[in-house]
Amino acid sequence: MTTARSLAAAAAVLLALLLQVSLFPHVAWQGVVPNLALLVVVGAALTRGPQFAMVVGFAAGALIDLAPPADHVAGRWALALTVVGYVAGRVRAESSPTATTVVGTVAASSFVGTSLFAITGLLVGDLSVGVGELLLVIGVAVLWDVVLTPFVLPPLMASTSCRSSPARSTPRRRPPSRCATSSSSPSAA
Amino acid sequence: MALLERAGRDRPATPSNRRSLGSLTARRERRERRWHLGPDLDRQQRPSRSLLVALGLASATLMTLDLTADGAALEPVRGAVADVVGPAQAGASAIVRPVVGVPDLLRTHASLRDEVAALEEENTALRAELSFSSTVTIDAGTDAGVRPDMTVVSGAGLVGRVVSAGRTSATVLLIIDPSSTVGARVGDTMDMGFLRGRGVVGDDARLDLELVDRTAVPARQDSVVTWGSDGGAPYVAGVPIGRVTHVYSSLRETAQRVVLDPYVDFGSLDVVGVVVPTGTTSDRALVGADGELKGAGR
Repeated sequence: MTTARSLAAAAAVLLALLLQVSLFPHVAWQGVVPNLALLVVVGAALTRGPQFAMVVGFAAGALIDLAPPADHVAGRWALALTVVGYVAGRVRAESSPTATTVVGTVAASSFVGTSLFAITGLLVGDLSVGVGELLLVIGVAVLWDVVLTPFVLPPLMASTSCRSSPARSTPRRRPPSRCATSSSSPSAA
Repeated sequence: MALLERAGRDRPATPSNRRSLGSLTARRERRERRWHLGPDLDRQQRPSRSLLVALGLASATLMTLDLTADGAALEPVRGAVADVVGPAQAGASAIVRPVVGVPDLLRTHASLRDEVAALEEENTALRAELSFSSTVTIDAGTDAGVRPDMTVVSGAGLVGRVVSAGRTSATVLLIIDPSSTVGARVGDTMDMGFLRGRGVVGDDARLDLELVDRTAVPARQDSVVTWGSDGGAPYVAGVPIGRVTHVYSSLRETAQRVVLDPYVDFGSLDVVGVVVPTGTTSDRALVGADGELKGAGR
């Protein structure tokens, strides 16, 4: 986990938060906005593995919990996104990321993350909606995240895996594995 | 994708078929490449359960901190985060606003005019609902001898009482306000009760009278007057309030509700008087108990 990569992840998280609070409320459907931070965490998990993703998830969640528009009990998104990082990281360990598995991972992560957020809300008495409404919100959230995946994850994964690569200067003889060579070197636990 | 592969297996591999299959596979590979990051990286990296537990506990700590003492412990943190993120959010909103505002720019004058008309209509309707508050301000204050808890009357009957008085103005709580309670008695039978407002004004303005003696039944059109308190505060005795229009009795509540039509039309209050003690010096005209007019009146 180099400093530069952490910085890139931090920038992605911050950008996600900004878009989430400024742009997405205008396109909210059923009052639900897409969860960009979750996509960032999934991207981190698919490129860097669960360890990095959990840290990114916790940081992003804590930021969402503490940044201004938040009116819920702090720590709920931190916990949800930490678990998302773990789950998505496990998925990646099982299979290499293809289009299908990435979309599947995003759907599963979105479901797990939003549900976990809702469940903690119920536990700490932060939430006062019915289960039916809750399921609707979770469904819409999963739908949003899946719809946004093709636009967000490929550039995101490219940036987190290629940026700050020591192998940037390697000759581009094998274009497909360019990113892989760069990222396989550091950060093995 | 699985479907695709099966189709390829089932069909005999004619040359044309193979070609299309080949191009399909190529396209698929291209697509996969966009997502795929090459051979598995960090496969040896084991997901660390201890990290998961640590971060989970950290989240739980955050929740606990936020739940205890109303989140006082997290307030400084929230403030600091807001200080850092706030300007960026404001900037992002400033950038986003013109973009999401584009649809507004494309709207025609006609649709805008329609919307203005609809909003004006709604505004008028809301204003009609709100146009009346249950307090009024009069233009006489402590300079005129007006003090809180004085009775306010008009030519028709009881209006309310002074709740606060400034030097040149005072606020009067009308008896139709739901928070107003007036001790009242039915004029003919002297039955005593408490009068409450409903917060409704205009022709529908009604007052509810709850009688102390629950067996007493006032007659329709009986007039109701204040019973008055010691020292005339907040209401002096014998001021007419209204007349009885309905008496509802409810077996379930073992009580009866007397409905009054107030004498005063609260929708068109004009000149009111404040009952002041005898001998008060005032910059306003004073009407004595004997009807004599003193001082420079207006």
